[in-house]
Amino acid sequence: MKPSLLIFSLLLTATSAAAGDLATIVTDTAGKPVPNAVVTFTPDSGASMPAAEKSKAFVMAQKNVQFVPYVLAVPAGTTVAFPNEDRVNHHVYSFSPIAKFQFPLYGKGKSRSMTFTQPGTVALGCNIHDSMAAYIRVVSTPYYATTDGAGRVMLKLPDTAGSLAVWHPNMDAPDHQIARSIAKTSGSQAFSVKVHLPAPTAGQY
Amino acid sequence: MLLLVGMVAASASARAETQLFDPATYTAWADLRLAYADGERGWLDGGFGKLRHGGEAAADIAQVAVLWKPQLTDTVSGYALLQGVSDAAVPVGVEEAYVQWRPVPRSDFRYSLRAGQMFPPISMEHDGTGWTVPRTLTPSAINSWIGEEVLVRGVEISGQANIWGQGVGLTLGGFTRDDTAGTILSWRGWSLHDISSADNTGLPLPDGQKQGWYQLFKTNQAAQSRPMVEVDGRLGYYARIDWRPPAPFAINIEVYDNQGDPMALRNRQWGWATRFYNVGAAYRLNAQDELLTQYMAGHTATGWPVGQGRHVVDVDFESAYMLWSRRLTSGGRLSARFDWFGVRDYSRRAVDDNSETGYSATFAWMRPLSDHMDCGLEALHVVSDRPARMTHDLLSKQAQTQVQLALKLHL
Repeated sequence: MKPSLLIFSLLLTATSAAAGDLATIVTDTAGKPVPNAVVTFTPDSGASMPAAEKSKAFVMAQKNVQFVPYVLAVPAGTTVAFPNEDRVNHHVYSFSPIAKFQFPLYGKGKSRSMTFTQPGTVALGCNIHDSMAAYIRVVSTPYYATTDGAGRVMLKLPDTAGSLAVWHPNMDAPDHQIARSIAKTSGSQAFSVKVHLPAPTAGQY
Repeated sequence: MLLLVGMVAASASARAETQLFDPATYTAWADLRLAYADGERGWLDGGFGKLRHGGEAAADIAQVAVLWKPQLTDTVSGYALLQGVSDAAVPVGVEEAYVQWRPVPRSDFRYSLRAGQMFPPISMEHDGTGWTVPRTLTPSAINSWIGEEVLVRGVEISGQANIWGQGVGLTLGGFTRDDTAGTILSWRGWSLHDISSADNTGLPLPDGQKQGWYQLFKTNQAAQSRPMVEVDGRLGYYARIDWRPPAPFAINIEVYDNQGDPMALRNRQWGWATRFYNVGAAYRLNAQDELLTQYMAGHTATGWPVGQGRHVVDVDFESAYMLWSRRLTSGGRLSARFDWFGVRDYSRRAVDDNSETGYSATFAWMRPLSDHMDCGLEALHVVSDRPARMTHDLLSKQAQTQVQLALKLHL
């Protein structure tokens, strides 16, 4: 992805949040909310990954010939299940450097699983259905969340300085991510990011 | 066949769950249509009318189809579409039928191979299930013609890669059949309709002994052109390049040449030397709206030489369209398209004038009603000038409006 103009704005608004609760809103340059953005906080002093976080159940389903969700954030070391909830078979694969794998054709009601140990991005595809695409964002901090339809997340954070980052698969930025240092982990943060529309799919058959 | 066996053997995997006759490999639909059109007699009835209907009110089975997509191995799949069309000259036939091999990508570079009977990847409108148009009921003039006369039997290899953030693709195809491509485009002219050809399709030429085709070839030309015949034993080819920059924009350029022998004649079907260039582009304006456009220019000729490098039938053809389509929150779609088309004739115009110009405007509203039912409403107005209409005692300039209501039932 070509590095390009990135509009960065820091808006500290005077909302009253409980100490350690950080609200983050991600919008595009036109002010519209950006869903499916992964927001992470990494304390400057570092953070260890609690075992309970890694053992949570993470699911990347195939439903109506689409991956659900479009973006799944998971901590490094997690196992993700890939259940097929469709009538048709799927052939899930990834050629991303941090996790090259494939699950040869499997049908309705069956599932496969994969453990992701390295942080980074896993781009998923289905070899039968070209239009299926999704991302697993493997993070190395226990403080992470994916923005909702309103472009919002709420993180419970320790009271320490650190780096707050936003990643989105279509963000026009180096590694599709931008970050800023924050000293205070309460209140709210806003990011305005440049996210491009996916390429048109007309005529792909 | 050897190719198929090789492909299956090369990709067999014990772990994969293949599906051959599982219910999930089938889908089927029935597209029922009510139509009204004013103006001249339609081309399906032997006239020069540009649309599926002309001067009539009609109820048709626009298409009833069964599509079978067996999964032979992990990476080899089949595709076969059997269709029925109540108002076509030959109502039942096999449209596309091919085997496809798609190895699992190991990097940004991916490739695939298909072999069988297929439409070369030219139309940007036919991305619905089973080579159908999801935005309108009637495809553009360019893609109506692809559906009529550009069905081939061959092998196609396609590769895509990502180079410096730019998506690029190359597709190469070699084929047999399709030697008569250009026949209906020359003698009837451009048209706008959604009847796709099958292996056994017959396309009716304008009727009567005053027609240029009859004046030139008499009984050496059949009254129906058959697009899927091989008359000259020569191979044709097509090549396409795709470019997808990291932007909501995609463009492709394609060349097609059937390398037809204009002097070949078999079973009253002539070989036509047909070559065309096509440029297509798609632009996503926002999450709801997209723009599609194509431009095509080509040349076709048949029969004996008449000097100056020309043949007895020798024309240039050209067309373009611009289509805007919006996805509605109801799940429906609203589309508008403007088409322009023309043919320039270089020989024997006194007895066989195939020149024409025209344009059309199409408005369509498509909407799913339930999981198994869609409806569509379309109005299309076309204006064209074709001197050959005088052989049917008509004014060369004609205008026509067609309104169609579709109900599509599907699995």
